[in-house]
Amino acid sequence: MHRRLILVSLGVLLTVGSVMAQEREVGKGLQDRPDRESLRMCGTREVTEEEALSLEAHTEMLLSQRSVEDRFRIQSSATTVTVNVYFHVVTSSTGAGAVSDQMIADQIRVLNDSYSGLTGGANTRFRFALAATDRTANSTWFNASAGSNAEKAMKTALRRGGAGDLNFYTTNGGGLLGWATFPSSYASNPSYDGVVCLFSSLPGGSAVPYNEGDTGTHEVGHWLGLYHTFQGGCSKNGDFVSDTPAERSEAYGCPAGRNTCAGNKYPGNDPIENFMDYTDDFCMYKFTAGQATRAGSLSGTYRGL
Amino acid sequence: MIFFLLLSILTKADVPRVTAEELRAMLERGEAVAVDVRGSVPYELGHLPGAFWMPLGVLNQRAGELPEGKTIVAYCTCKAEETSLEAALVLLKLGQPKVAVLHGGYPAWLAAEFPVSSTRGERRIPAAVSCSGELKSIEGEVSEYRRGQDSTVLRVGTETVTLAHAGSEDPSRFFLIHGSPLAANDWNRIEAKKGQALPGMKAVAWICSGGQTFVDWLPAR
Repeated sequence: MHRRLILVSLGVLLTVGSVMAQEREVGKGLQDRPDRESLRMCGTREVTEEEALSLEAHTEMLLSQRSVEDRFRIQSSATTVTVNVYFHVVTSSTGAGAVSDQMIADQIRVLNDSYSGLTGGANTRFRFALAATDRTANSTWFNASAGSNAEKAMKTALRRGGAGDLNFYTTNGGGLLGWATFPSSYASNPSYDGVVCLFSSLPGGSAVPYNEGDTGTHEVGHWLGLYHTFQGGCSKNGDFVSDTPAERSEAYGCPAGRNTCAGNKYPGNDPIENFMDYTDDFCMYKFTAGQATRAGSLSGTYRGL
Repeated sequence: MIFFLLLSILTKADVPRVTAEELRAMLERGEAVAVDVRGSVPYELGHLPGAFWMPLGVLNQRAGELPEGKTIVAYCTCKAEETSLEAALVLLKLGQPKVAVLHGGYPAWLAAEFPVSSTRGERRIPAAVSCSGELKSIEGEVSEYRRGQDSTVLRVGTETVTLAHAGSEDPSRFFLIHGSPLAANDWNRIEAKKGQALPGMKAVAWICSGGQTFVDWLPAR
């Protein structure tokens, strides 16, 4: 039986430059329910095809203003860019959620393994280095939910660096595994930028089967500009990455051979092994080359990376 | 040509699976080597003793380091061998003749309570253990324990270690208990009688290449 229920939501509020957030959710208090799929909730609305297309057009317009060399630089993995990571450990007033320095170092290594292709996927241009760690005991912030005033207060107080600096918060998750902001939202709301992860999802944590650090990899994927692999379902554009097979809905566990968009139009099984799906941590191990390019484009355009 | 055509149509269903028990026996007979295809953090936290670490992303480049003539058994954390099957296909296509995967992956090995190694300081190196060479640790049940005139032989997990103590029957200077030096009144916590370990006793063998081996006994606290 699954010890934790993972409920996933894609939360996007998008016009170009507005806030976008995506979340993997943990259903609090639902740990003993066996049918976690049926308990899926969506706390915020999904991005519509029109909204996504609008962002694509805007990004393409901005990219077209760059030189060929510059576009190549941000879209290829030929040259890497190291992202500074500011780690903010938020605990309850009694110390719950106090992840160790080792777990933080491990999370950084998991990011580097994932984004360099070591675990089996495409090499991206992103590498990560811990810039600083701070620790704050504040029960209100520790229990903050996505989009709450407490979350905004926490980020306003703790956030450091600029558009290209990753602020990584660990909290009690507010009922979620994590959530993130997209690159395009930075300009309109810089203090809100960053990723939030359930503290026990860090490598070696207790959030089995989501305790190998891939929640961090997943949320940082959003922070770099990636959608879920099931974004858009079986529609033509899907997640706006051509080499991720279409997927009608999120996958849980590790359902080998799952194929929710069948037929000649949709070659390949569902990308359950992709970091941007919702499968168990042990199941996900790759980004595709298309995702590497997209992350480069979006982050290069909106984060200056 | 036909060979390459056959390779191109290999599927995951063609890859044999071995159980944890079968793999342990194969390793003990020297018939197999284990290959850990996971990322650096899970590998460091715990892996099969003696396993090669070759994550899926570097397998193509590093497969040449694997010994010839042995069955290569890939494993991952995955319960249905998802990643290890990907690795097995890579190895088969590179020409490895005997490739298999560990059924149930690393969790199955843990469930069988077989020994694991860690390259991580999760288990702190006891202060008494000094080593100028490569230090490895093996943790497991003590299945063999012979105290001789000049040496003591133990089998910890899958590893047999010999402690030389010429001129003395007493190996205690190479023994620790939960990381601390063994005291005289600690013997009854590890031995039923002289030279007979208590049933189910576990220990960590700290093996220094070209140096001294120490055994850290782990009786129930």
